[in-house]
Amino acid sequence: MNKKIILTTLFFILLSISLNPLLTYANFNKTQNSYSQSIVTSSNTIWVPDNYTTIQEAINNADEEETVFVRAGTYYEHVVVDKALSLIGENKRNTTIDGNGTGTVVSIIANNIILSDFTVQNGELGIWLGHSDNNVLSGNNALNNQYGIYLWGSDNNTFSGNNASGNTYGIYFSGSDNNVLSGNNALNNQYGIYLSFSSNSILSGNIASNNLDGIHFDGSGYNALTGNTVFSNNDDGIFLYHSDNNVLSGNDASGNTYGIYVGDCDNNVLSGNIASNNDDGIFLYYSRHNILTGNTATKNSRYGIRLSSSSNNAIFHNNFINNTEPLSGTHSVDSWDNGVEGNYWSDYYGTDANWDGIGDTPYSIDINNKDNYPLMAIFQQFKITTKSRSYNIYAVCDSIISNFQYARAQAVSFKLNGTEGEGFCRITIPHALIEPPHTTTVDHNPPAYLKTVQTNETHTWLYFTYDPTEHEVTIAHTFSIEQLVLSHWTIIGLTIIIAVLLLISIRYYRMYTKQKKVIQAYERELGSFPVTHPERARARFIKDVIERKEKIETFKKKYGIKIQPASTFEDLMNKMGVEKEKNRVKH
Amino acid sequence: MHAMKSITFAVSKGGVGKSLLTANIGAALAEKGKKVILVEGDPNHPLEVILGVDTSSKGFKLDEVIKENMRIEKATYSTEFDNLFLIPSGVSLQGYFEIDPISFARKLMDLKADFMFIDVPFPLGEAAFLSLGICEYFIIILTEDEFVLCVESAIDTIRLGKYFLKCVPLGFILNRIKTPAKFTEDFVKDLEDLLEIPYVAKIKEDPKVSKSYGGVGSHKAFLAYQKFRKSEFTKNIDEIASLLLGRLPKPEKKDAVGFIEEVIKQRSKL
Repeated sequence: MNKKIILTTLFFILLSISLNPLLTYANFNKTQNSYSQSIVTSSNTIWVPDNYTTIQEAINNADEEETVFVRAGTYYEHVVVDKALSLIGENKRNTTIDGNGTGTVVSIIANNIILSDFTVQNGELGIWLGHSDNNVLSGNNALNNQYGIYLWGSDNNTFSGNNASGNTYGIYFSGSDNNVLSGNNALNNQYGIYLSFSSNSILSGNIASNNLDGIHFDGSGYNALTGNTVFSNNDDGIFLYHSDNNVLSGNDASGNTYGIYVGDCDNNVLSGNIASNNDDGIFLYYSRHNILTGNTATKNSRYGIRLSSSSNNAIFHNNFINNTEPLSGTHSVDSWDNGVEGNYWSDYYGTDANWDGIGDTPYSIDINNKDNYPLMAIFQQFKITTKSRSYNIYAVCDSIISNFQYARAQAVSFKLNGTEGEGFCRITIPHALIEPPHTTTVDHNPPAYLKTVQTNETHTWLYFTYDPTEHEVTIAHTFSIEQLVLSHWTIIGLTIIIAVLLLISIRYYRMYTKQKKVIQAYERELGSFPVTHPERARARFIKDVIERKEKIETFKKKYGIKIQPASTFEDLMNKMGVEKEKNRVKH
Repeated sequence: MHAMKSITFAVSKGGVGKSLLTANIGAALAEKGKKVILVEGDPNHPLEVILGVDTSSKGFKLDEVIKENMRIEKATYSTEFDNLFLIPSGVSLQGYFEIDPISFARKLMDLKADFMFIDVPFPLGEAAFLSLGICEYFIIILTEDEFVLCVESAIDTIRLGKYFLKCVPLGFILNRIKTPAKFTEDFVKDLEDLLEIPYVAKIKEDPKVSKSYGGVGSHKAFLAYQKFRKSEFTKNIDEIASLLLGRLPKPEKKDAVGFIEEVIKQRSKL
């Protein structure tokens, strides 16, 4: 599993590197000034309406890699982009493609297309990507369509700075993988961002508000949902349904009915999310083997966390603060600590006589559930990144910690903004970052009280107290020469491992590309859909009646089986029992 | 990943084993890791019986979800098989013409799964328009009993589905075959020529399998695919599942809601 995660991460890194030039191009084209720079100097630009009055005519007459630049105005068209070109609007506020209430307004059916700075409105589908890969869509508005932006079997696309409003589905992915969706807005839709059977995509920094569901996953796995803001959605902020192996981190889900709703899902990781001022902060329904850690649920009007028929989830290092009820758990048996530390419950009133930052008595939930190690203060988590890797440092502290930094080799420092009375901190130090023994100072002096609570092969838990004012804390290790040599060998070893993993991921990526080509060739072979009308259907039916007649005769002669299928449409309806049904209804 | 494949079985009479095949093929696909939703369109609720699903716990069925405009998830029931879900209908498929056939079609087309099967009651009637109109694919079931009627009806259904409702016929299954010797290779080939669709499987009559559906209201039903792992029946079911797992012909782009509106219009003229 770890290998898979590492490979997936490396794949995304490679993907982001490969998409970087496209992103740079899109950003370059964002401002009015840069348009004139790129367009005036380029002879490969077609202007609408200067050169052609409609966008479609311009596209039909453009070559691949050319730019079609559309001046401000409202264009009542259904545009099909079937070649790799850039379609750029003058300004999304007043460059509008309007579908007049019908059909697909912009269909993207080729690869490597850039679409930016348009308002696409009043269609069944606003912007549709059908089996179309490696496109960049930026700075567009999709307004008042059934589907604002619709991806159908389309991979490796990038969406940034788009806005979807007033649609039934704001941004909708169906069977579409490896896409990047960042910094988009989905407001006032029924569903803001909807992933259906779509995987390995990154959704970051998006805002979804005033929808029925802000972000909705169905049957979608291995996606990363990071740093999104979902608020004031009528039902769910983030809704996961039948969706496994996703990572949700650092999202803010506030002011919804359900902040984060996880229904019938397994193996997801929810970390560092905020769920506040919802009815229920986090709701797990029929869900198993999920990990919830580092989340904060505050001021929810019903429950901070709610579980129903959800077992074998690991829930620790979370903060449940000032909710009407901290939790509700029915028919659920879960783990509420990691064997060392549990969660912070603002309604826990136990004591900490042994001064280790953990309550002396468990926080009881129900007969099957209890938090054995309730935290005596809020949980805070910090990431320290050195040249070789990242480390998580956990703190249970009754002050807000700031300026957490890697002070120097094998040392961290941070600031404490003290509260009333004597404060305490319980800090978990990974040995890989700072080896024991540790020296702890508060304002360069030994703390008032200091002890090593616990140590194992990988971590040490330190506990110290301080006076209620602002302090600077440093935790450090003193190097010996032998340790320096050892650490160099560790770095060399890690470098070799990373290089091997990189080679494996390149091979994996090549295999993936090859497979993709085979599928694309197949799709081309299939061609486009025939347009069928009732008259055409009848014509096909009659043709079939005539052509199959001989076959029926042959079959009859050979096997003595007399078959009399319907020979007119009316006859067919009668035989299918529709007449019978009508009579039944009449009676 | 691909979009949902929606499939229905077309039959010319009752008792050909359509619900039994639907449940078992659904289970086979679910076992292979696909999310499968079975829509019960038969008021005798055979799928509920075969899969042993108690639909009284949540209290919602598809007709209620449509009337109340609730989410279809509220009427989606887990079964004892991972990935296999059941949507109980509440009324017969025919009954949706009295409720709201358009919402019915929309709700089903909005389902998110790898496979959806609609189990249609016999006789077909307007229910055929709903099931063939909504589904992208259908499979014909022929039985040895009343074989002539089956073949005749198959041609009618193929024409209706293929030309008018844009539902792609995937092939035919010879089910409940009592005298396999009659169905020689040549005969099956001639049948393929006549129907212009491929032969999918020949499933012999097996009393053990027939017993797995104890009949309407029975509580003794079970899933043959699960119970008789090494039987020929299970082998046949696996073959059909493999066919469905492969790449199917591209479905025709169609407007299911439009079809149904047309049927309602025709109906109101009478």
